[in-house]
Order: sequence, then structure tokens, then C-alpha cells
Amino acid sequence: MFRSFSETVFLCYKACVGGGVDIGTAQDIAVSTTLIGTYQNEIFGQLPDLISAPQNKQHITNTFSKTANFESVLAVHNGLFLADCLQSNLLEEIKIKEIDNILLFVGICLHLVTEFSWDILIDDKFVVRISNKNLSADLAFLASGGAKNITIQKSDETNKSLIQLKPTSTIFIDAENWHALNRLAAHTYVDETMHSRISGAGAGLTDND
Amino acid sequence: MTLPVSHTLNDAHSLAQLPAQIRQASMVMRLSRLGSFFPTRLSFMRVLIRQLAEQKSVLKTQTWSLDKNGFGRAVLSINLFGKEYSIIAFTQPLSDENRTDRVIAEAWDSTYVLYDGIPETEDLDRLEQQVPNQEAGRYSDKELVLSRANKSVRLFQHVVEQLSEGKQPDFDLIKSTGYLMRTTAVYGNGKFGIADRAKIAKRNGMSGPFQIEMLAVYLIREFTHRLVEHIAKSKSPKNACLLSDKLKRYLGIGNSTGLGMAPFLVNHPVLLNNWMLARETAIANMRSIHLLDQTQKTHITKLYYRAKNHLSQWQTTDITQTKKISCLRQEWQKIEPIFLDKIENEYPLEELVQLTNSYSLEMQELMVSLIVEIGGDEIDQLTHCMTSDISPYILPNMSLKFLKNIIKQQFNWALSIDFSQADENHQFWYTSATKLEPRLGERYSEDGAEKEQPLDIAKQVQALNSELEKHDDHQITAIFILKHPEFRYIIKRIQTASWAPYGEIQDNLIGKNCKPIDMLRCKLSFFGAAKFDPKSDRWTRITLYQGAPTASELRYSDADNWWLPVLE
Repeated sequence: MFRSFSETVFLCYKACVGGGVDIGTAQDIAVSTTLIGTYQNEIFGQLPDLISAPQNKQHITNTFSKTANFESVLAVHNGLFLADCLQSNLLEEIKIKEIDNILLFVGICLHLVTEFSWDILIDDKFVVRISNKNLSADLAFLASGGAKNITIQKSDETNKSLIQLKPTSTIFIDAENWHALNRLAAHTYVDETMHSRISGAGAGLTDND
Repeated sequence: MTLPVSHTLNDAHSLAQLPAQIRQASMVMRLSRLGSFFPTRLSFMRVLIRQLAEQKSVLKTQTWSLDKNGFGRAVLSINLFGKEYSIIAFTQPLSDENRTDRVIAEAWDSTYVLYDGIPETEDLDRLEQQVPNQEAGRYSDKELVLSRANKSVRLFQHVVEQLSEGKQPDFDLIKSTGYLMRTTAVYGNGKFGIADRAKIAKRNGMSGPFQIEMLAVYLIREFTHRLVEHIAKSKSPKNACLLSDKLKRYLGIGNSTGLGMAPFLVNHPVLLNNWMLARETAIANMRSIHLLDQTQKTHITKLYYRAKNHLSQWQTTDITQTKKISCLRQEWQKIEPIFLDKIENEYPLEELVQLTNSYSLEMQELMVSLIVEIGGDEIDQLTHCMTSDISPYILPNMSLKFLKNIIKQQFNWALSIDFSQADENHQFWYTSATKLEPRLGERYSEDGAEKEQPLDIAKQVQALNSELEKHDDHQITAIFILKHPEFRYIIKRIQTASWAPYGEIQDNLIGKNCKPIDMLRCKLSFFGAAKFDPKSDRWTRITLYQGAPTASELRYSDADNWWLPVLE
């Protein structure tokens, strides 16, 4: 079924919160997921598993170096930090041995990394450029899930081999994926009691005046 | 470090360029003051009516397929800046026991969509299967707004009866009710599959906040006027008369508003900042006027007396609000001779504002709304600054020293709350599993607090502040969040406050003394609502477009002259 951008963001946000993600992260993951979902809607089917991935805290010890290496990155739990590092120019090059979802990470960069242009390479092959909220990519990249040997580096914009992709204006999400997100979102709702039905909203049950 | 200041007011402004007399956020952003707001000429309904009037928009009936009882479907369309917009109405019988204004309702007297363009028959057939189901229906991006309305049973029937006998309705009953139907929800921006705001945000006439929703409500009001006339005429074709123009103008559209509006203000701090900043800039600009010319003196004097009459017609059954209105009436009366003197002085509007400082908050806010009302185009231009597509975001390279400073300077109000006291943690905001109705619970006696919505801003600020004390000043925000992702949300808000200072309500929203009605009134005043009629401290009825020109009056030169309507 086709979904609007805002209802998709809202459901992804609630699914993240319902899945135990903190609110600030959930907000950014929801927007990032929806942004990349306008290029590749498979991400919505992948999101519940990404949310549920056991947390894996990253550490950065040397803040004076402009490059950093990370072993195993979880897009939902670590992706925002990496994007913050790129956006703040704390890092100019990141090497990641393994990431559970490169698509979502690109969505995070589209959402949060607005300074400079960035190239992403997988196994030394140039596959993505993010520049001013625009996405250029190798079309095969859009079928990606997990990835290994990733390099994110500041772009010199000399490589023009990728085509700029156009996002869709409406998002198609199949019913099964939508329900899976809804199931997670339902963890944020409080079951009704007679007391809450009567008093929780501060209004009566009938309105005939 | 450089902070972004270009998202507020307009791109040319920075905080340093704000007017000298502007009221500070620490004064304005308190619940008690927000809960005393009145509509101004910057209110969204006023903006829409000015645009419709400027465009000399014409309302057309495209479809009118209603039976003698007024049940069926109808389409009214209006043109704005070259685009057609249509309200599609579906009406059906509703038993009294099913008539509730709550979100948990399953049926309504009437349901609506605002359609982008003029619908074809197949669109109407499709929507007739969906719209009466409201949240349970499914919509496309051709639909811009989804809404529903219930009858004011007493007034609706009375008006039908009177018109069918060729008589106008009872003046006092109209005065005490003010609407034939009241909307119980007005959904925009992508809800249930309708168009995202992005689809229309760049259109002429639609760039301001809630303009599309305000248009839908305006057209619903027009529909209700035609509906009572239709039923009256069906009942008695020979004797029935039309509603008088005067009564039509006075009959607005009611609205029932509950808790859902309160989280909106908290969840959109940049938008709230821009609304407040435009309003406060308008007030400050008016206060700086050196002398009033004769036209302005005459205008403000007329408005003073109109406000006086409006107050005399403002009725509510709420005891707290009744006391406030009574006090306000006395205070407004008391300043009459001084008011007439003051407007002859230098800096007259500043003097009027100063005059009210020793009176109630409602008095102070009524006065600032009054002085803004005599502003013209220059004030109206501020409406262009009242929108925002920006959400709070992290400034990852901000030092913790800078972050701590923002807390110290702008969140002292949050640090001063004693959360070791049970009363300060008394309430929690949540979403009910039943139709996702927003509700408020009592933390110590109800289940569900572990699922509370993040409206505990002050408490989160305190938690962050305690943690920050353990960290080096030179550390940057990105590294801090790496260690403490749970603070990402509150850090975003705090950093945002450095360039959007009016974005935070500076009170404890989970405390026992928090009255959500204050937040509702703040937001509704920006819509342009008046005659607040609280039904509890979480729920209010209001009237929208009361006194506004009807579609047939949009061509008149005084189409914008309807601040604080009076039935005379």
C-alpha cells in the first residue's frame, strides 16, 4: 500500500521506540529510514531486525586523528554517531569492517550529513556519493543489506561515474512489513482501563448539547 | 563556535536584531501566560481570510445530493491563487448515544475531505466508502485534509425549525452557542495516506502554517449554513426562508479540542518558536510607535469597545474560566478613561502595555492582541516567518562547556524544579491503545508510566545536567552522545534553544499543577479561536470563524475586520 512520508516517519519512530531505541535516536532513524525508503522500499522490511539488534557500543579514543576504523557497526545503534563525526568534521575518513545495513547508513548520512560531499566505497569500489542531500549510486547498491570493507571519505567529486537517483514521492510498503512495524509501535501504547477511558482524556463519553 | 540563527523569524534576522522591547521567553513561555492568549491579526484564520479576500475567491456548489433530511453528499469548491480546492461532505443519521467528540468515536453526523481540485464522480464514489470511516479509511494524495463534525443538536434543530417557518432563529440561542456543527478532528499532513504538507507547502496561499486545514474548516462552515437552509426548505418549501447574512456571519464552526494539541507544541519547538517570535516581534514593533494618527486612534478606540462587548458575550460553564472572564470584564471597564487618555500620548501603545502590567494575565494578553490589531501590512508580513520545516538537530562539535552554558542561561527554569517531590512527577502523558487517543495519567495510581511520551522536558534537562558535571568541558557533543545516546533527544532541544529561544514551554509538564488547557488555548489562539469554553482542564470547545466574512462577503473591503466578534 502507498504511504505518505509523514505517516511512514511516524510509524518508524514509534517502532523504534517500541523496540527499545532511545527517543532522540528513534527520531533520526525514522527520518533516515524513510528517506532511503524513497529510493528502496525493502528497508522497511529490514528495519524491525535492525532495531532488535543487540547494542554494540563503539569507542573512539584518538579524537585528534581525522581517520578511524570500526570493526562491526550496527546502523541503528552506531550509525548516528558516525554521521555526527562526518558532519562535525571530527573525521574525514571512516573504515568499517562490517555493517549490518549499509542502506540505512546511507539514509542516515542523507538526513544528517549536510556538510561537504562524501563518497562511499565497498571493497574499494565507488558505489555511493552523498552531496547536499542528493544520492548518486550504483543501482546494484540499492539491493544491499549488510556490507563489508566500507570506506567513507570526503569526496573530491572527480569521479562522475554514478547517476543521481530520484526519490519517489509516495512510498510503497507491503502490508506484512507495515504490520511488523505496527507490532513494534504497539509497545508504546497503554492498554485502556475503564478509569482511563472515563478520565484520561478529560472529556465525557457523549456530547449532545 | 558559530550557531545557526537563520531559521528563525526570517533569513535576514539574527537574535541580536530582535526589537529592543521584545518580551523575553522567560516571561512569555510560562503556561499561565500561554493559557491567557487571545487571537491576533497574525492568527492563521485571519491570514487565510485575507488571502481569500485579496484573491476575491468565489465559492461554487459542484454537487448537492442530499435528501430532505440533509443526508447524502455535497461538494463545494473555491479557487485560491489559481488552484481549486473542494470540500466533499458526507452526512448521515447519528443516534444521540453515539455522538461523542472524543477520538474514540466511531461515527459522526458529518465527515469531510478537502480534495485537491474538483472531484469526478468516481472520486466521490471511492471517498464515500472511506471518509465516513475517518481514521479507519484509506486515502490518496489527492486528499489534503480529513475531518468530521457533529451537530450542536439544540441549535441545529432550532435553526431548521425556525427557518422552515419563515423565521430567523432566536438571537440569544445563537449568541450562547455560536455554531451549527463542531469539528472533532481536522487531520492534515499525510495522516492515513492523505497528501504530505510538502505537496502544497510551496503553493501560493498555502505556505503558512495550517492554511490548508483552516481552508477546510472555512468550507465546512459554509456547508453547515447551506445544510440548515436545505433541510428547512425541504421541510416547508413554501414557507422556508434563508438564514440572514448577519446570523450567517456570526455562526462560526465549533471545535472540540483535547489533549492531542498539547504534545504538538512540545514536539515542534522550532515551529512554536517561529509562531511566538513573530507574535512577540509584532507586539514589540507596535510598542515602539511614537504617535498614533487620527485613523489609528479611531480604530483602536472602536476595537477597545468591541473587545468590551465581546467579553460581555463570552460565556462558559467552567468555573475557573468564568472567574477569569469576570475579572477581565472589570479590569477592561476600569481602564476605559485612562485608555482614552493614553492614546493621545507619545508611545501610546507602550503606555497601554505598561498600564496592564499590574492586572491579570488575561488582561495583559488582551491588550497586546489589541495593539497588534491596529498594525497593518508591516505586521501582516511577519506571517511569512511563522512556518518551518526544520526539526531540532544535533550540533555535534559543540563543546560541553557551550552546552552547559545554554542550560545555565536558558534552562534555569528547569533546574529549579524539585523532582524529589511527588507532586512534580504526578502526571504522565501517553497514547491509549484505543484508537490512539492521547491521554494523561496519574503516575502513582495508574499503569503505563513506563510508556510515557517525552514531555518531561525539565526532568530530562536535570538528568543531563547532572551527567554533564562528570565530563570535561572540552569534550564535544558527538563523543558525549556516543557514551550516552539516551541524552540525544534532550541535547537536540537544548542546542535548538540557543537559536530558537521561544521553542520551550518553561514549566513542568508532568507536575500536578500542569493544566493542559493552557497549551490548548495557546495553540488555538494561533489558529484564531476565541470564546474558549473549557469542559475540563484537558478539553475545550471553541468557535472558529465566528464573525468572519462568509464566502459571499469576501469581496467587501472590511473582510479582515473581524477580530473578537460581537453579535449586535
